[in-house]
Formats: sequence, C-alpha cells, structure tokens
Amino acid sequence: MTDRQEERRMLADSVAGFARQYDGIARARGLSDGAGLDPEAWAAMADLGLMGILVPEEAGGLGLGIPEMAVVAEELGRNCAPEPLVAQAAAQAALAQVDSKPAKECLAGTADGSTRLALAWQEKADQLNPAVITSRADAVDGGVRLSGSKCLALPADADLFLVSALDNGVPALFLVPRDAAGLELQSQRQVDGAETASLNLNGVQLPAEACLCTGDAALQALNTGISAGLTLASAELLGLADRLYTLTTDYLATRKQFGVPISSFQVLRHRAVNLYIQRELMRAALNQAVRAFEQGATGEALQRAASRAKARAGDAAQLIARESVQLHGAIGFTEEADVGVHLRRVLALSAWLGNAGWHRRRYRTLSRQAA
Amino acid sequence: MTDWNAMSDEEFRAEIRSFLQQNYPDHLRYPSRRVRWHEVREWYLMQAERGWTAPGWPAEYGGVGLSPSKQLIFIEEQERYGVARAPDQGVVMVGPLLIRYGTEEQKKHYLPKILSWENIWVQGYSEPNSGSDLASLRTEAVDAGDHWVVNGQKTWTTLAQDGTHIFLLARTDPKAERKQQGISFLLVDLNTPGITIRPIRNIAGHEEFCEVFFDNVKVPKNDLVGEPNQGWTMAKALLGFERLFLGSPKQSQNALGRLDAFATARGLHDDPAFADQFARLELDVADLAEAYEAFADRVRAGEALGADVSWLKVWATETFDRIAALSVQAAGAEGGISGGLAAGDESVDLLSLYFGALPTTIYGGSNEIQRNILAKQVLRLPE
Repeated sequence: MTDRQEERRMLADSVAGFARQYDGIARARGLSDGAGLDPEAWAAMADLGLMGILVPEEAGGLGLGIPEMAVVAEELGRNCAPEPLVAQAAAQAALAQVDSKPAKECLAGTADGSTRLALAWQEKADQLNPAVITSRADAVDGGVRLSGSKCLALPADADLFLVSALDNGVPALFLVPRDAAGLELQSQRQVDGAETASLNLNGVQLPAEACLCTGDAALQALNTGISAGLTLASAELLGLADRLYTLTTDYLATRKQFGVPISSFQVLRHRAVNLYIQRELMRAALNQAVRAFEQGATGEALQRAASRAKARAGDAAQLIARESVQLHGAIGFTEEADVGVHLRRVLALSAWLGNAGWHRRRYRTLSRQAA
Repeated sequence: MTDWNAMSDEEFRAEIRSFLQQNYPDHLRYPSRRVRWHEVREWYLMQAERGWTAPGWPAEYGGVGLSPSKQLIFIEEQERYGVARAPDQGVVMVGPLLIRYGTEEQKKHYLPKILSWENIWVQGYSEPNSGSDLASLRTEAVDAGDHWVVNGQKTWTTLAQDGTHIFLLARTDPKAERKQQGISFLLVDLNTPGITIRPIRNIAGHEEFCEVFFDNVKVPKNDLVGEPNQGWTMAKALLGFERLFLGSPKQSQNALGRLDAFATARGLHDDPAFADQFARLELDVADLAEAYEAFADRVRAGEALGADVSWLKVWATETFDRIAALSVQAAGAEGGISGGLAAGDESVDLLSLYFGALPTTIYGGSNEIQRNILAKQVLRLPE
C-alpha cells in the first residue's frame, strides 16, 4: 500500500470511529423531525479535523485534497450523517483557490467549526452554468453594493456566503456575512430536513475587501468548487448506496416467508446483484473524477469528469434506494425502517448542483467539444 | 531473442500496435461476423512462423512466455485494431490443459501441431440438454480395454466445420455420487469414423456453430487427459484471467463508435431524446472501461481474479445489447434493411451490431448464470 492509500485508509477508519460514537441515522432523523443539527456532533467532526481537510495548513487545516475529502464523504454517507460537510467543502474548495487574507481567515474559521460557509452562485434552479451571472456589484463610496438574487445555497444557516456577481460586466466573488445590511434570506426545506437559502441581495453594502477575486480567477474558483462539490456528493451518494445495499442484502438474508429466507428466491437474488453492479459502477465513475483532481485537471476536463461521476451517482443511488424500499416490502415504506432516511438523503444529494440528466447533457456537450 | 517481458508496457504496446498497422490486412479489420478459417489462415500462419501463435504459453513449450500484463496488452491491441479471432481453442484451452495435466507424450504430440495450426481444435462442452447445467452432460465414453467408445451429441460447437480435433467432456463414470464427478477430458480426431458434424444456421444467417454427433467413436486410451473422472475439476482450473475478456469494453466501444458515425451523419444528435439515450450509453461504456481497468490492474499485479469479475461480463454484454437496440431504433424506417446503411461517406451495418450483441448475454455462461454466481459467491445470499 502506498503512503497516500495508507493515509486515506486511516482517514476512513477515523470517520468510521466517529460514526460508531455518533449515530448518523439518529441525527438524520432528528434533522427530519425539525430538531436541527446536533452541535455536539458538529464540534466532534471539527475536532477530528474533518472540516479542515481542504483548508491549507497555514490556515489551521490539514492541507489535503479532494481525494481525501472524498474518502470522508463516502464514509459519512455510509453512516447517513446529515451534516452539510460536502456542501461546505465545495465552498472551501472554491475559496482555497483564492490567495488573500480574508479568504484564509474565512477558511480558518471553517476548519475549527466556528464558521459555516456556503456557496451562493446559482440564480435560477435550472441555470447551472456559473458563468451566467445577472447579479451585480456596483462601486459605491468605500465599498461595493450587491444587487440580485441567489438560490439553493446550502446550508441555509451559513455564517458566510460566497456570492458571485458581475462587476462592470466582469465576474467577481464576494464574501457576504449573513447579517449584512440589505441581505434578505429565505429558506426552503429539503426532503431530508436540511434547509437551503434563497438570498435577495437588496443593495447589500460591503467593504471593498469583501471582493475576493475577479475575472477568470473568479470563474475558475467557482468551477473548481462546483466540480469538487459534484465529486464529493458522488462520494457521499456512494456511501449511502453502499449502506442501502448492505441493509437490503442483510434483510433479504434474514427475512423469512414461506418458511425460507427470501434471499432464496432467484428473482430477488438477481435484483440484489443488479444493485451490486450499480454500486460498482458508482465507484468506477467516482474513481475517475478523483483521479482528475489528483492529476491536476482543470477547466472543462475537470467539469467533464465531475459531471460523469454525478450522472452515475445520481441515477444509481436513486435506483438502489427505490429498489431497497421495494425489496424491504411494506416495512421499507415506514419511518421505522432505516431505508427511508437514506432515501431522503439520496434524493436531496442527487438533485443538488444538478441531477443526473443535466450532467449527462453537460458531459455530452463537453465531450463533443473536446473531440 | 527479444525479451518482451523486459520491455516497458508502453514500448511493448507501441511495438504490437505498429506491427499490426504495418502487417494486418485492412479488409479483415472489425469483421461483422465470426470469420472462417480460410479467411484468416494466411495471417495466422504468418504469426505461427514468427512464433507468435501462443503468446501466453511458456517459452519451453513454444510460446512467447509473456507475463499476464503483457498478454493483456497483446490482447487489448488486437481488440483495438479489430483483428479477427482465430479458431483459437487449441491455444486458449487445449494447450494450457496439456501443459498442466498432459503426459510428456501428449505434449510432444499435440502442442507443436497447435502452434503450427496443423490441428484446429474445437470445444465439445454443451449438449442439447446440458447448457447452463453443463455438469448434467450425457455424452459417454465407455472403457473398451485398449480404447474408449464415445456415444452422444455435442452442440454450439463454434466452427466445428473448420476443426480437425475436438476436446470433449464426456461421462466416464455414470455411477458417481455427484454429477460433477465421473466426467473426463478426451481429445478426439474429428476424422474418426462415427463422427458427424452438422452446422447450425443462426438468426443472422451464418453457420457459426455446429452440432457434433458421436456414434460408437473409438478414442485411443492415451487421449484421455489427466486422471479419469477429473475432467470437471480440470475444466474449472483452466478458468483463469481470460474471464476478464468477456467483460472487455471493446465491443461496446466499437459499437458506440459506429452508432455515433451513423447518428452524426444523419443529424440524430440534434434530437434531445436520442442525445440523452446516447449520452447514457456513452457513460455506461466509459464506466465499464474504468471498471475493466481496475480488474486488469489486479491481473497485472499477479492477483487471481475472483467470482466478482462476473459483474463485468453482465454489464459489458448488456451495455453492448442496449447500444445495438438503440442502433436499430436510430435507423428508423430503415431498421429492417440488411447490409450497410448510408451514413455520409461511409456505410454502417447496424443490423450486424444487433445480431452481434444478441448472443453475448448467452455465451460464456449466460447472464442469468453469472447473476446466480454473483448472488452466491460474492453477495453470499443464503439459498
């Protein structure tokens, strides 16, 4: 085993250790029931360093990359952890592209768990190209003023939002505190109980240094963040799918009807094998996206790899989740069974940053351009 | 002599690739059906003269002695270039069987004739009532003192009409406790009196496989391989990393390329419904290729493949099948026209893809059997 593989295995072990102590499914149920997130689990995750994986060492993080964060995301998925670590990691990955003091400070806050950060780039639910921006930044005395709107920012209770806007027609990124004057927040509840925010930027007044970067650097940072988010969401979906697979095959092996375990019925055995195949495909698609990050891919090559992972993960995880309900029978449709809790996470994650159909289209467009 | 294994993988790949480009006849690339021996004879005899009939056999037996990783590259490059398959059962099955279990006399007699293509071997496994349940086979070989007497029928024997010899699984102990016991491996000359070969026409109109009948066929005693009644065990032991190739992405990649050429020429990619179906298949093939590489890495590292490799066969062949089905849909009202369809400057034969894909989910262990294997050995579901 190489040092990197060894490091990743240890990381997976440490998340698994966390999961033994803190029951992810119970927390996911709590979130669904409106109890919010468990602050103790959040703090424990920060103590473990899970929030600082993508944060440079000089900002108090571990200075690791997407491959390591993917290991964490997969393991969190396997434990159905409801915390928006992956959503925050997408914002961190974008911010890590920016070499400035405010960016470093913000990253340091995310690493120790004291600050929650969310990407707020999307303006319409069906517009997933970060280069299409209508929000504006206008220079005013001693600073800038943002106007426009953003949607589907996760988590809604972030302390800081990373917002894109056009400054004289040039894309720019801004750090916007949730209590900034002129910022109106509305939240929308996801099926898993987590909340996403819509931001109305009604002339949000910011100091000049709130602008982190402009032009190509801003777009590149956003694209990197989104590609990271897609890859990590795919990893979390793989973890969820893997747990659903285990829950379901265990159920088939123990549930008896007609005096025999229902796993003895060939039609169910073959359906279980199909779930296994889908899970293996998710892993293959994720591996190539992780490799793209490892090899330093940028731009469209990175987007293409990330779209490919998300297209597979979204469809396969949904298929595995729906089949898991069916193979559990009536109990699978109850809140009592664990499958439903996983299914709701799968639904939320497979839609986030674009569903499988959208990413297939982007993959196809980028492939044809590359050819 | 060149030490091929000492070459870097890249060097070796480049060497094979350029050799094929310079020497392999163009008209035999990507054949749309299984080719007959007379069509590829010249090419394979030329390979035999170079000593390249059996890249995987140890050098002491006249092979090239390639390492598994080099063999993988060799086969990948053949597939990539669309090299027509030889009637290679002698190389793939009989040779390794004899090298492992044969007597010195058997090796000396048979191996050189496999290498020179003087003997063309065909496989005698399946029977009319023993397909997926192969171990129930009933073709029997009865001990008649100095020879065996074989009676029965084999079927789905690929290109038996081109063969000179057949290797048979035959029942030698009908009283054995388990059906897998009591089966032996026999080597039989197809010219022996009592053998009748009848080609079977497949639904694409080709005579690709045959029935082979045995009526009191006398087989010399020393043409039994290994111990009597151990045929099943030996046949299973021969299943090596070759199983990987049943899950190769090449067929699907080639089919998708042809569908793409057709769709591009006909402007089908502008239809969002077609474009989505195509993109779905493109990703199915891409993820298959990624998974295949992960298995190939295991072979390259010298690991034995487990039963989990079966999922690759299932996914590879079902993906190929979906591409073939979409191809015929893409042809629209011309979907029933045989031969090539005009696509810009080219002609694309989509029906040959369709017929090419159909048997892949059946041969090499049907996909239903593969799922049974996975459910039992990999998912470990109680029965």
